[in-house]
Amino acid sequence: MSSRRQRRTVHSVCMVLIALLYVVSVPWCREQEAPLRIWLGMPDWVAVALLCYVGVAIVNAVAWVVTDVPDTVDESENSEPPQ
Amino acid sequence: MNFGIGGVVSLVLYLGALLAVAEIARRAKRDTLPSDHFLADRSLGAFVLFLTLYATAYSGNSMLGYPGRAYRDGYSFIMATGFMMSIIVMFHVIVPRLRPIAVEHAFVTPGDYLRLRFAGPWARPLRLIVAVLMSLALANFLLAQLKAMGDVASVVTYGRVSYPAGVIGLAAVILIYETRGGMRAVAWTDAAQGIAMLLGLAALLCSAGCHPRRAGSRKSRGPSRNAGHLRSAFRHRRSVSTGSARLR
Repeated sequence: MSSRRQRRTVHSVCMVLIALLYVVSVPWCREQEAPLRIWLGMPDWVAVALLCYVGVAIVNAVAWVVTDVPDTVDESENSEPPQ
Repeated sequence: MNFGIGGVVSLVLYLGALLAVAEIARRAKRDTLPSDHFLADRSLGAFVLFLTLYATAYSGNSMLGYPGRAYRDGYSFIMATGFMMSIIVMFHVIVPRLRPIAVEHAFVTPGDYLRLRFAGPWARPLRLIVAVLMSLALANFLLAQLKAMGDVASVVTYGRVSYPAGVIGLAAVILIYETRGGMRAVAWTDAAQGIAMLLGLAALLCSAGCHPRRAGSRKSRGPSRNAGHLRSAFRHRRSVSTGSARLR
């Protein structure tokens, strides 16, 4: 049971990380007239976006590894908690 | 790029191989139930499913459409990579909840879930509306595939196969093997095409990486010159986009 809870925690952390990576991938703070800097042979904001997407792919894979996809409905999940 | 008569021969061999795989898939059918035709009796393994998803997601639009759009729009189209990946991420919301219900009630189509979830007089119109909306959304992808097929057939054969003939002919081949073999034929041919695409992309990367005059090569250009080239390209793009904005 605790292992299941741990997997859910890891899954939730992965989802938050993915959301953060998507937020970081957008160059929100970059001004339109900002000087162009080259990283890894491409504009810096493109390199950042690409690295974020690679990170998303890795974290997403981890999230799927720890995700339980049961073939039967877990009744305990659907039942209302006691008031 | 064109391959002349070699392109025609390759295209014929490729289509022949696809039809052969589809025929093997048809013979592997276990029964005549809809679940066997539409879901391959839920028997597809992880390897085939991975390649099927890969070949489905990275099909004509990403092989031909995205490079063209990236060439036209510049680096800003890098965001499309994130959009494509978000599809797989969103599966986390749907799959763990839908999968057990789908197995328990033996769903075959999305309409089966709607039938279970919603009852009453509006259930049938709702299913119809959802089916129409899904068809409209998928029509974009279908149109992109048809266009890509026509372009590829025409270019690869150096015009020996015309664009309309390419669209109609290749669509007919797909229709034949999907009708005969069902989901199993789709998945197996997708797997074969996924492997071909992976090998082709790997060869493309190797070819670009091994080329002595590749962009960004320190030996051929040096970092400063490459940076200058990128800067001038960036300025050019900005001036073009400013110009187009003014025109609007």
